[in-house]
Amino acid sequence: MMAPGEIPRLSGTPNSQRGAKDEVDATLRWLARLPAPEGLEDRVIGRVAAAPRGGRLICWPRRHDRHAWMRNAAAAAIVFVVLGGGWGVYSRVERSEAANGTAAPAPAQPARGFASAGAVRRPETIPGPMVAAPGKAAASPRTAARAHHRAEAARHGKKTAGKPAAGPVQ
Amino acid sequence: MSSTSQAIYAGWMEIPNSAAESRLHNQAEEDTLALLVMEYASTLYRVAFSVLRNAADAEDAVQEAFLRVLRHRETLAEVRDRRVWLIRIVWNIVLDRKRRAKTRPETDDVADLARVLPSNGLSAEETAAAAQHHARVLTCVEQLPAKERQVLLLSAFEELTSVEIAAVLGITESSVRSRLFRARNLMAGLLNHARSSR
Repeated sequence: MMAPGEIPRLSGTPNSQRGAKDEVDATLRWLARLPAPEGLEDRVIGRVAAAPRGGRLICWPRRHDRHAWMRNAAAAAIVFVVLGGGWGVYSRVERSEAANGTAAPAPAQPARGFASAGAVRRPETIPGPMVAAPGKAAASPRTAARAHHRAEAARHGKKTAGKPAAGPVQ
Repeated sequence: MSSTSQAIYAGWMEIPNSAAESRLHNQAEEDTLALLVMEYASTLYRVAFSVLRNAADAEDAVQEAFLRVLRHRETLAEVRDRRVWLIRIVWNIVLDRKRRAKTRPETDDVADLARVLPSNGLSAEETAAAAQHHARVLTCVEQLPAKERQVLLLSAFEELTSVEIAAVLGITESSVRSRLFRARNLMAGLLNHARSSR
C-alpha cells in the first residue's frame, strides 16, 4: 500500500493502463483518508447547539393552572369580538330583492365583416315537463268535450236561425 | 399519567408533563446529535472535501448537514443506517454547492492540496510534486461525466460498500458497478492522453 504522499511511478509500457488506474486509486484514496481538521466536532456541536429550535410539540394547557381563568377570559373575548364583528357586518348589509335576473351585456357590434343582424344565440335547454295554462289546466276530458259540443251547436245555430246579436238594453 | 398515555388520550398530539420533561427531551436529542457528530463528522468532512476540495467549504457543508439533521430530528428514530443517511445528506449539500459555485473562479487546487497534504517525512519539493500530481489526477476526474465521477469519488471511501454507494446515489448496485468500470477506463484514457501530450 502506498503512503499518502507517494506518487505511483508510471511507465510507457503496455502496463500503463494499469499504472494509470493505480494512480487514480492512490489519489482518490489519499483524498478519502484526509484527516479532519482539529476541533471540527466541537465547532459542529457548537453551531448545532446555537441553532434556533422551532417548536415541535404542541403543548396543551394544563388543567390545574393558576392563570387558566385569564386564558379562558382572553379566549372568550376573542370569540366575542370575532362573532360580534361578523354579526355587525351581516346586519348592516342591505339585501336587494329587485335583482332577480342577470342583465346580459349587449352583443358587441363587429367593426366590419358580416353582421349578426341582431341574432342572439340562445343555448338549447333540456326539454322539461310542459306546464298547462292555469285556466285550462283544471278542465277534465268530459268538460272539454261538452264545451266543444256547445261550441259546435252555437256555430250551427248561428248559421241556420240567424240569432240576432244582443244589443244594448234600452 | 405517563407521556405515552397522555398522547393516546389527546389523540393527535403529544403532551409533555412539564417543562422539566421538555428540557429532558431536548437534552436527549442534543446528546444523540452530539454522538452522531462525534462518530461521523470526520467521514462527512472527507466526503465533502472530495467534492469541494476546500477545507472551509467542506466544514461548512458538514455543519449544514447536521443542522438539517436537527431540523428533521423527529425522523431520526426511523433511520435504519444513519451513516449512509448522513453521507447522503452531505452528498446532496456538496453537489448543490458545487453546482452553484460553477460561476465562481476556481481556486488554485495545487496550492490548496499542498496545504492539506500530510507531510510524512517528505521534503517541501516532494510535497509540492505530490500535490501537483494529485491535482493533475483530480483535474482528469473533473473531466469525467457527472455520473461516473460521483461513483468513482464515493468508491474511494473504504467504509462504503457498493450497496451503500447505491443507496447514497439512489441507483442500483449493478449501475454502481458498471459506472465504476466505465469511470476507471475513462480515467486511464484521460491520464494516458495527458501524459503523452506533456
